[in-house]
Amino acid sequence: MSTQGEMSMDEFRLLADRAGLGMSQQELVELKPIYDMYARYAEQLHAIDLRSEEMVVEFHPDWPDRPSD
Amino acid sequence: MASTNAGLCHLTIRQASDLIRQGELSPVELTRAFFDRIEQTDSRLHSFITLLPEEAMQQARTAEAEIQRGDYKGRLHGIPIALKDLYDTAGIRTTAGSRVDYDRVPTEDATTTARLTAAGAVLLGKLAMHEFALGGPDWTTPFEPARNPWNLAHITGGSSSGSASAVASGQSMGALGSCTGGSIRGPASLCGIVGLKPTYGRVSRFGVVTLSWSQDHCGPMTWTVEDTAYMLQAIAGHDPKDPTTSRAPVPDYSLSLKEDIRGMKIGLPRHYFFDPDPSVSPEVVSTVDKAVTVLQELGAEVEEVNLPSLEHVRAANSVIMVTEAYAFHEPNLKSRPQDFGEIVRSRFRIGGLLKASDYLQAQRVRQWCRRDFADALRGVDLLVTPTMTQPAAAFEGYDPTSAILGRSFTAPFNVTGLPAISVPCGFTEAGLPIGMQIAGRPFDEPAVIQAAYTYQQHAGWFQTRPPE
Repeated sequence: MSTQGEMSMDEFRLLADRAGLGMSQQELVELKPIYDMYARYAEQLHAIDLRSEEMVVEFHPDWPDRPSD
Repeated sequence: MASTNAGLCHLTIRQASDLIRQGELSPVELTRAFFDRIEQTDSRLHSFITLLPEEAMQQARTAEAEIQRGDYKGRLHGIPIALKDLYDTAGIRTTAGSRVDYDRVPTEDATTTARLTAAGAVLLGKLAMHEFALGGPDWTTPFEPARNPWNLAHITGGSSSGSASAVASGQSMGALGSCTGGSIRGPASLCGIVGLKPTYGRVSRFGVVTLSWSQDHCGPMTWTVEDTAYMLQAIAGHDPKDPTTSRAPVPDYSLSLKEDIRGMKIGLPRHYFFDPDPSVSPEVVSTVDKAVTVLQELGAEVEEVNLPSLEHVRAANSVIMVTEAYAFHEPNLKSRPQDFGEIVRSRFRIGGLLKASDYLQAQRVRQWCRRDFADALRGVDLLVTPTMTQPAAAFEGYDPTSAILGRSFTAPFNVTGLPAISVPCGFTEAGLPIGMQIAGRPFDEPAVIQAAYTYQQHAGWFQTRPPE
């Protein structure tokens, strides 16, 4: 489970600096609400119990006859 | 906008190609008619970024000479088309709708560009798009946003904005769009045309500017389903330059152009696409419901299906999209951020702020979605949904962040890679188009095309053109 949640403006500035994005204070203020939306998406994804789910995607031309698919 | 040439520009690819093959229509005359129409209309529609009159007329003359000497190449020979301006065209500027690539001139064609040229198509020009295929209409980029031909005060949807406006308004017989979360089907729906996102791996992405490697798809946008089948035929198939393309055989899509869906099993995921939700227009849902009734009357068997992963598809699509986009654009974002438009700059930067574990978790959720959809498609042949949650919004008051929130009806098929088409199925009371989405099993574009074709031929919405 992610702990991103909604971070403070100071934490957000630190994060952006660490990413090397070189944003002005005004840009940071404008970006923060959009970041919060995406952070909520990330939290939503981390909250799903995927057990042993892998991360590959492939299709087989003879789908759906392959019993493993 | 009355013009003697408007009639030619409202022919379908099938109609025009029949006339060309029979020697009753000259590709040169046809191409000239399209440039006349573009000249008359594009100051209002802004569909094009670059026009190629000299090159196109030369291609048309070549096509005419080839056909006259009996070397007819098929349905696209001598047919005027246009490309979203992220398809590389050798020697021709390809901007991706951005100041960042304002002067970029590729040295090599995208594989899709080359295949359309080999099929004898005539390239009218390069089409407007949302910057780097993301965001919305943005007046901080160098290019004017395309307008919706059904109502110029409304957006086209995107990101294949110019592709939709050009085809809907009769400025081009067909176009290629690209799609990472709905950028083909969305504008097709909002502009009343047909748009097909093929199966991931069916069409090469080589030479197409990347937004999200694992979710980008290339596909046709046309006035009719039949024309979409012809364009798909020309571009589909394995490409050694794109390792993600499949070696699965390419069927003859024209064989799917038959009006018969008797016995086809259609799944309706009502819990996500049809049930009331604040982000979904009841007018859109009721219109698509009526279209589903038509499918039933035509012999399809309809049943509800449950897809638990749908609630998380939007999140997975969004996280994967911006993180992959950041990886692609990072050097320019750091060295020349001022050259990005405001919307895209902010979205791409988000991708640099999310964690690696966020991206990986999104990919794992994606795999779950794929299995969830595969399970559903064992019991039904197709899934049918509304294409968009809302009809085309007005430019005035449009909030680009609205495109991030709420449900997405198109993203599930980018996340799963399944083929999906949008076909017009009616209009709002305000006269704006509504689209129905039909999705199928991997590489089963034939079933998707057959169902959409059957519906379109029966419903006849294609007979209504935007106001002149």
